Amino acid sequence: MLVYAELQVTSNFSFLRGASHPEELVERARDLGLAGLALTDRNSFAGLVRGHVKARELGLRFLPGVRLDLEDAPSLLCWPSDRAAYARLSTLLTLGKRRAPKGRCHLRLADVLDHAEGQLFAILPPEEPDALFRERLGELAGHWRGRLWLVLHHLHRGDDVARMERLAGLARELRLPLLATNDVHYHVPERRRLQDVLTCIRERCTIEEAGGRLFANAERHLRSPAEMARLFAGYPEALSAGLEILERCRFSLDQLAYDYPVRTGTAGRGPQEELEYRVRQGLRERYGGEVPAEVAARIRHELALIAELGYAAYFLTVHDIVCFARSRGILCQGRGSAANSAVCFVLGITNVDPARMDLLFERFVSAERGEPPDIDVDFEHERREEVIRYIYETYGREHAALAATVIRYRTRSALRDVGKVMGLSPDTLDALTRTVWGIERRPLDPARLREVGLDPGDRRLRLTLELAAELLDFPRHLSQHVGGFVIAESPLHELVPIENAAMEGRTVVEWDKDDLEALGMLKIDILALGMLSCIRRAFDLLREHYGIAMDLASVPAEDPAVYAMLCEADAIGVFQVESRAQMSMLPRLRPRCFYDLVIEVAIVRPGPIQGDMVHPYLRRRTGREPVAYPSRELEAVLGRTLGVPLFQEQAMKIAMVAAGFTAAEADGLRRAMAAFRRRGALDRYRARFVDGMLARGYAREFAERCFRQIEGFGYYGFPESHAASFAHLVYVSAWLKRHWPEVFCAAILNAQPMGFYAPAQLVRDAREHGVEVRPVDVSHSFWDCSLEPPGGRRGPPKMAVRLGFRMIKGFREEEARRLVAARHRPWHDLADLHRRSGLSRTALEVLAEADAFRSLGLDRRRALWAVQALSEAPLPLFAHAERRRRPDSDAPPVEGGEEPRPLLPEASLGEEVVEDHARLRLSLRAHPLALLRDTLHRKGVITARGLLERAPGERVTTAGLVVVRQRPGSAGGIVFLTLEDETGFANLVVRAKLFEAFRPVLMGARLLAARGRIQREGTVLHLVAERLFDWTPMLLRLVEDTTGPTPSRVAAIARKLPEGRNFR
Amino acid sequence: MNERCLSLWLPEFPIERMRRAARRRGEPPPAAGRPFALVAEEGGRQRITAIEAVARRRGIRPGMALADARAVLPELRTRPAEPARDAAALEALAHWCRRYSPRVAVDAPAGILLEITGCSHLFGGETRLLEDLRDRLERFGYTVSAAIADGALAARAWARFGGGGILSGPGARGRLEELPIAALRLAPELRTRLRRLGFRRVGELARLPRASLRLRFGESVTARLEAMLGEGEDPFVPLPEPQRFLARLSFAEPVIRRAAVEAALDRLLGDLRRRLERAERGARELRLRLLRLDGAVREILLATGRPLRDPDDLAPLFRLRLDRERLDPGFGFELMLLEATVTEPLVARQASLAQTAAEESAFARLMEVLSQRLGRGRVLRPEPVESHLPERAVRPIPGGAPPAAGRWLVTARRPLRLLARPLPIGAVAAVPDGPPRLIEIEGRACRIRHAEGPERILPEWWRVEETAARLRDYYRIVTEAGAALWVFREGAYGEPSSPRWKLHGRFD
Repeated sequence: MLVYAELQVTSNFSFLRGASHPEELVERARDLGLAGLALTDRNSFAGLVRGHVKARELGLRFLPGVRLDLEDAPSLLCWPSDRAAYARLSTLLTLGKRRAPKGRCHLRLADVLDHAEGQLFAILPPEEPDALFRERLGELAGHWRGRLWLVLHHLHRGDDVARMERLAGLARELRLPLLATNDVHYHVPERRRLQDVLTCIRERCTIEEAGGRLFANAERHLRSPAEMARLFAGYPEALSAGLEILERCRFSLDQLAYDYPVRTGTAGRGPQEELEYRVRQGLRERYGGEVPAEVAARIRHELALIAELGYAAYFLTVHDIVCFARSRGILCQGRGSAANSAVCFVLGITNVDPARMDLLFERFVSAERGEPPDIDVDFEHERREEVIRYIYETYGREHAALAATVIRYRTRSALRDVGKVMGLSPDTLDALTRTVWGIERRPLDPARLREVGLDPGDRRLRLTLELAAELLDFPRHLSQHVGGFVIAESPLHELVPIENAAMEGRTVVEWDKDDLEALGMLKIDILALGMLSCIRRAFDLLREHYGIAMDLASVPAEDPAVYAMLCEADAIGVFQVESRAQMSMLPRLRPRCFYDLVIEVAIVRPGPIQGDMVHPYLRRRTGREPVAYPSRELEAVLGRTLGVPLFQEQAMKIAMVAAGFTAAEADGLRRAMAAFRRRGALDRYRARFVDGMLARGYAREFAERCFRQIEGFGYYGFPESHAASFAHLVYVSAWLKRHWPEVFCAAILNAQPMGFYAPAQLVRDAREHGVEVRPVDVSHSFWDCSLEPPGGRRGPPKMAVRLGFRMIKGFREEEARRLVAARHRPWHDLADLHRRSGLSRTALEVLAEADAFRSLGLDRRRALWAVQALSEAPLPLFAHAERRRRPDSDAPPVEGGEEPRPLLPEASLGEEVVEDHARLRLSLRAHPLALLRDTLHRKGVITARGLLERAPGERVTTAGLVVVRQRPGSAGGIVFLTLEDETGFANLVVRAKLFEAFRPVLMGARLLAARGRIQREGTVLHLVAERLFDWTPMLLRLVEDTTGPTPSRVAAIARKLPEGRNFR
Repeated sequence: MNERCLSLWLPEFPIERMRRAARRRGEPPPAAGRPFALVAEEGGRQRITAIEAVARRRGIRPGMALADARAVLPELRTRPAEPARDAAALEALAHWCRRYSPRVAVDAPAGILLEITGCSHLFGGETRLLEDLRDRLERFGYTVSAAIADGALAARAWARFGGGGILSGPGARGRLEELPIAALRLAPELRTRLRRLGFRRVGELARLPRASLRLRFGESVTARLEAMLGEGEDPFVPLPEPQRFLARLSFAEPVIRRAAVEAALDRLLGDLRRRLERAERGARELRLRLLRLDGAVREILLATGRPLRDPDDLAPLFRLRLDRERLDPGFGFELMLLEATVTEPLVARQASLAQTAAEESAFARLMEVLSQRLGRGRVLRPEPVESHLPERAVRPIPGGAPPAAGRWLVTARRPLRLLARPLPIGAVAAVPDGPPRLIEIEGRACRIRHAEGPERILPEWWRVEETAARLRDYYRIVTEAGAALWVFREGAYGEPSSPRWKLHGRFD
C-alpha cells in the first residue's frame, strides 16, 4: 500500500502564482488518497483557513505551513509542530510584513533562526545546486539537526536522474534526510494554461513574450502516491519523510483558542457579572423604576444565552466603544445580527426598542450554530477615525487589527487581465468589457460579442473568454475590510500574521471575515454613515439655536405628521427612502407606523424585487388580495409581512420550517447567500430546498419563488435587524425634516457628500418648504452653513439658513477660519479684508467668483476686477494707509493717477446663474430652466409640474437638467432618469432598446428633452420616453453669447451646470 | 504697420493626413464612413485628440476621455494619434508652401503661416493667391480655412474665428474687434479670467485703459491686443531653409578611368561627411549620380542598415556596387553628384577604448559589407527567442538588424544544430515515459547504450497551429555505435492516437 503526503503546495493565495483554490487542492488530495496535505504559500497564511475548513469537512489531514522566501538564503518550507511554534511562525511573518510595504514580506535567515523553536524545516535547492548552497546547507544542518530535510524534486528537464543523485549525495554527506515533493502549483494538470496566464499577469507581459518565465510543462500538479513512487523510485526514504513530518506536526488550526479581551469591571466583577451589572443600570435609565415584564423576561433570557456561550466580554467591548463615542459626542448606532437585542437596547448600542419589534434573539445568537454574534456599529462618517484611533490606543496594535478583504477577480477585471496577456488590442478589450454590466458570471453570449463587432469564432477571443471564466473568483490581493476589527486578549500576531495596510498607520490581519468566522473569532464592524453626521449636526443646531436637547432615542416616536409627509413622497434628504424607487414606493405603501418603515427599507431591494415579492405585498396591504398563508407553520414566520417573505431571516426560517433544513444547513444557506460570488455555492441548496418544500406539501411555484428570492438576497439581502436599525434613522431624519426643515437643511449641507441628491436639490427642497436660504457672504458666512435670525418684520418665524464657505468649490476650510477669525468688526472694504484676513489673492478670487462680496457693495465682476488688482500677499499697514487716503479705494493706484471705474460688461441673470453654478453648484437666483422657459414654451415643452395635470397615456414633451441616471441591475436594462426644471422633478423611464438608440443623448446631455407617454400608478407619475433630444446647446442662451456657438463653448457652459449622478 | 500675412488652418489635419497616407499606400482609409477618432494616452487615460465629422455630430469632442466617448458612442473606432508624424507632415507641407513665398512658418498644431508682402502680385493679387493655395490643399484632401491680414496674429485669428478671407482697409480693425478673445491666443488661464469678468470680444478689451490691463494681467494681454490691432510689432519668424545633403564635383577633363572615379567619390564622401556632421545626421539612403558627357545619367542607389557618414564605412559599399554595376563611362563623366536622400539623427560618439565597441562596430561593418556583396536580405544571423520549444528558440534575422533583447534559455542539454524537420523513427521503450532501448532510423535498427531523460516540453497552447500539438518527451541517447542523438516521443502512451518517435538532432 503506497502512502504519500504532499507537503509543498502553492495555492492561489500566493497571488498570481498558484492556479488552484485551496479547497480544490484539498479535494483533489482526498480523491487521490493522499495521507495529508500541507499548504505552503509564499510568506503567507492567507489561504490556510479555507484549506483547513475544507479538509475538516472531508476528513483529510491538513498541515498549516508556509514557504519562507528569504532575502539572504535559499527558500525554506516550514511547518509548525505545535501551537507555540505556530505562534512563533505567525510572529515571524508579522515581523517581515510590518517592516515591508503592503503585500510584501522582508525576512532574513537571522529572523528565522530567532523563531525556529518547534518548527520543522525543509530547504529548497536551486535548479543548479552550487558550492554556496552546499555551505548554507551545512550551516543550517548544524542548527536544525533532526528537523531539517532537503527537498528533492523531479523537474522533468532531462537530467533528473543525475540531478537527484547529486542532491542525494549532498544529503548523505551532510547526514540530512531527503523529502520528496512535487512543488504543486495546481490541483490538476489542466490548470497549466491558467498558471501560464497568471505568470504573465504577474510579469506584466503577453503570453508571446513570456518565454522562459513559463514552466515548460504541466507537471506541478497533485500526484497519486503511485505516481510519486514511480518518479522517486530510488528514494523511498524521501517519499516516507512526508509522513514523518505529518506525524510530528500535531498542530491544527482548531487549536487556536480565541480569547476575547476581558476588561473586568470596576469592582473586580467577571465579564458576565459586569454585563449584568451594566444591563441593570441601563434598565434603570431606559425605563426608570418600572421595567415592563415582557422586557425583563427577554433580558433574562438573553443574558442566560450570553452566559451559556461566553459572549459577555464581546458585548462589553462593543459597549465600551459605544460609550467612548458617546463621551465624545459622536453619534452611533448598532445593527447586525445581535444588535437588535434587548440587551443592546438597554446598553444604548441600538435605539430600536425591542418592544416595538418582535425580533428573536436566538435567530442571531444561537447555541446550536455555535456562531459568534455579529454587531456592526455605524458612526458619523466624519468622526469614525476617532473611534478607530481609540480602539488602537485602548487595545494596542498587539491586540487590535482590521480584518482583510480578499479582492477577487470579477468578470471585468478577469477579462481585462487575461485579454492583455492574450495580446488583445485596447479597442477589443474595451469592446469586450463593455458587454459586461456589473457583476456577471454567465459566459458571454456570442450574440452580444457580434453586437459590439467581435467575431465569436476567433480562437484568441475564445481562449480569452475561457480563461477569464476560469480566473473568475481567484484572489488577486488582500485589502483592508471597511471597518471590521479583530480584537483579542492574547497578542493577535500569535494567531494570524498582521501586515501593513495601504493606509498609513493601519494594520490588517491576513484573514477575511469568513476565515475569522470559521475559526470562531469575533469581530466588530466599525462603519461610517453620513446620515449620522447629518443627524448629529442637526441635534447640535437644535440645542444651540432653539435650546432643545435631543438624541437618537428621545426623538418623539410615531408622530403622524412624519408619516403623513412620507406618504406624500416628500422625502428628499431623508435617509434611505429618498431614492427614486423608494420615493415611488412611499405613496403606495403609505407607511403609518415604525414597522411599516422597516418594510419600506427592506422592500425596495433587488432581493424582494427579483423574487417578485413587492406586488403581492402591496396588493395584500391595500386589501386587493386576501392575506393567506401557505401553511400554519409559515403563518408564524410570515405573519408580520402579510404572508410575503421580505427579509433574509424569513428566507432562512422558511428553509427550516417548510423545507426541513436543520439550523446548521440554514446557516450554510445564509453563508452561501452572502458569498453568492463563489461559484455554484447556492446551486447545491436549490434542489434540496425545493424538494424539501414539495415534500411538505407546498406548491412548486411557491417553492421556486421562495428560492428565487433567496438568490436575490445573494445580490443584496436585507436582514430584518438591519432594516430596523435603518428604519430608525429614516424616522429620525424624516422627523427633523418635517419639524425643523431649516435645521435639517443646514445639517445635511454640512454633512455632504452623502445621499442621493446634490446640494442644489437639497436647498431647493428646503426653500420649497418655506426655509429662507441666504447666499454665501464674507460678512456673514462661516465654514459650515449656519442659522441666522429671520430677517424683516414679517419674515417667516423660522430661522434662515446662511450658506457656509464650504459650499464654495475650491475654498479651503483653513482659509475660512482665518477669514472668520479676523471678522471681529465689520470689513471696511476689500483692501481692509485683504489685509486683516491675510488671505491670498487666489483665495479672494475664489470668493469673488462665488459672489460673496455683496455686503461690501461689490457684485461678482466688480469684486473680481478689484481682487485682480491686489498684490498676491496683503500690503503692509502703512502702504495700505497711504492708499486709504484716496477716494474709491477698492482700486489700487496706477502709475499716472487714479484708475477709472472699469467698463465691465454687465452680467445678465443667465450669466449670474451659470457663474453661481460654477463655484457653488447651485444658484439662489433662478433655475436655469426658468430662464429658458419662453423658448421651451414655444416648443411646446411642459414643465415637470405641468405633467401632473396631464392624463395617463397622453403624449407630451418635457425638458430639464439631468439630475440622476440609474440603471438598476434588477430592471432588465431599463434606465431611470430624473430631470429637474424650475417646477420640480420629472421621472423618465427609458427602455433598454431606446437607451441603445439614444445612448449618446442619454449619456452626454446636460439639458435633455424627452417625448413620451404619461404613465400613472397611484400618485406616481412617469414619462415613458419614446424619443430623447440633447438640447445642451440651448444653455448658450443663458449667457446670450453671440460670438458663435462653437462646440467647446457649449461644453464649457455645460461643465458649469450640475452633472447628473449615475447610480446602479 | 505689420507685414501682410496669410494664415492657413487645417482643422482636421491629423485625420486627413492619416487618410492621405493610407491612400498613398493604396490601403483603404481608416474606418471609412464610421465614427472615428484618434486617441493618445495622457496621465494613464486614453483621451481623444482628433475626430472626424461623423463622430463630432454624435457629440464626441477632442479632450474627452475615451471611456466617456465610448459611453456615448460604443461603435467609435480609434487609432493611436501620431503626433510626430503629424508634425513632420505639417512641416513638409509648410516647405511645399514655399512656392508662394520664401518666408513660411509652421503654426502648430494645425496651421501654417506665410508672409506674402511683395509676393502676391506674382500670383495675380491676394485673392488669386489665396484661392490657388486653398484649391490645391483641398485637392490634397485637406479641409482648409485661409485668411490674409496685417500681421500673423490677425491673419491667424481671421482664419480661425472670422471664417477666413481677406482683411484689409479701414474696416479691418472693426471686424477684428468683433472676434472673441480666444482669437488673441492667450494662455488658457488668462482667457478664463477675462471670461469671468464678462469679456467676450477683442473690442471690449481694446476699450479698457491699457494700464489697468497691465496691472492685472501683466504684459501679455496688452502686447497681443496691440499686435492684433496693428498698434505693435508682430514679428514673423520663418522656417529655416530645408537642408539638403548634396556634394557635387565637376571635372574640367571628363573622367573615364575607374581609379579617377573612385578618387572623386572619396572627395565627395569627405564633403558629404562634413555636411552630415554639422547637422548631426547620418545617411540611410544615398544616391550617386554620374552625368556623362553625352547627357546620359548613371545612378547608384544605396541603402544602409544604420545611419552612416564615415567614408571608411561608405566607400567600400560604393566600391562593391561599382564592381557590380559596370558603369559604362562612354566619353567620360563630366559631373558627379552625391546626395544623402534619407537621413537620421546620428550624434557623434566618443570613440570607446573598450574592445567590445570596436568588435561591435567591426561586426556591423562585416554585416554591411556582406549585405552589399550578397544582397540585402541574404545575410542572416541567429537570434534567441524565448521559447521552450527547441525549433522555436532561435530565429534568423537580417544580418544588419540591431540585436534584440531576447536571451538564450538554458541550452546546455540540447544539440547545437537541429534537423530542419524531425525525422520519424521507430523505437522500443518502457511505458509510460521510459527512454528508448532500441531505435530504428530509416530501416536500420540501433541498440541504445546509454539514455537520459525525459525532458518534457508542452506545446504552446496559445498558438493556432499548436491546437493539435502534443506533449514531447526528449531523450539524450547514445547508440552502441557511439552516435549521440536527441530524440523525442510525441504524445503519451494511453492517448487515443499512439505516440510517435522522432529524431531531432545530433550531439556532434
